[in-house]
Amino acid sequence: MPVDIVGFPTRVGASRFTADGLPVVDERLVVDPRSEMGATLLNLLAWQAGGLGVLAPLALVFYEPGFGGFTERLRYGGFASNADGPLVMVPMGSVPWLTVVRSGPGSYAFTFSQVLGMDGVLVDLPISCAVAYPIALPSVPTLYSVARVVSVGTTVSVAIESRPGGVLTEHAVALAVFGGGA
Amino acid sequence: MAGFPRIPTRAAFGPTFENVRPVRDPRTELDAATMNLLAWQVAGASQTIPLALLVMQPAPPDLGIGLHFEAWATAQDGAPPVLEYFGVGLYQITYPVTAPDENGTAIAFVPRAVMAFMQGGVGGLTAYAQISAGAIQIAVLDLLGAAADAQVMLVVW
Repeated sequence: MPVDIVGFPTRVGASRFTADGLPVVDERLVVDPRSEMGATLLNLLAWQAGGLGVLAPLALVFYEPGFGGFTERLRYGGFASNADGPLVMVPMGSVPWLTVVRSGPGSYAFTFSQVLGMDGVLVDLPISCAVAYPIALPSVPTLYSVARVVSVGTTVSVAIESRPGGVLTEHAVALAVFGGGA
Repeated sequence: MAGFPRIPTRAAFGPTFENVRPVRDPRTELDAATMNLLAWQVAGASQTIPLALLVMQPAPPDLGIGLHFEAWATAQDGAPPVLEYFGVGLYQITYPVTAPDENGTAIAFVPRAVMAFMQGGVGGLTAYAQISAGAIQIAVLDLLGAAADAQVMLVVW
């Protein structure tokens, strides 16, 4: 039996899906592959789940700042550790593990607090890197701009700059955070 | 069912599994804890991974989609989206309005967010993408804002 079973936000490699880190084996030959799961298939599932777990972002956030009459909101919040599914179109402040602070035009700080792990225990989100990208959404005017991750940690700071010009500019932004270890 | 292009939750993979008896040989028997971990990880990754990506070639006569992957086309047999050329550096990508789930049932698909990235080409270019009426519009601009043709990778959520 695997020991210390913990899933997202902790990374889980394929070896964690078996008792000793080795692939499982068939006790007998599979007679009917439609009604029996062979060891080869289970090993493939574990391998794929391990690979997905290594590379999938720990969190994906689509954030719309409040400006020009638009309401600040979280358009999408997908957390790899959220077993209940993504959060879609929720007002800010309603997500207990994410706070967004807009310090000025195009300057946003995303602070991730502890999230519920697989066993229902609150754990830190082990963020080590992030990518940000300005996204155009139906409620936000189209602007040509670029996003820059300014700092990474429990708080990820993002700056949106216009192109050309390099002026800090309001814009909706997508943020994906990565990190952790198996 | 609940598979791609939908985003399955943990609940889609069934209840929290329990062993009907203790596992005697973990090498040949599937522990409920393993199944629970598999379900958690797959549901979790499904929340954050892209649903599609492609690499497009920039301009006529080579205009086209070179690579494309869709989460619902697990056999890598999905039809590519439609690429339209609107002029130098201006493109539109349109995915089918439905995509098949694991049972082959057509499920509505609307891109929620997109990102475009330069793939090679000359320096100083930036790719931009936005969603407009379900279609994905891409622009490639230089440092002065002038459009230019270039190879672009598009990531779709």
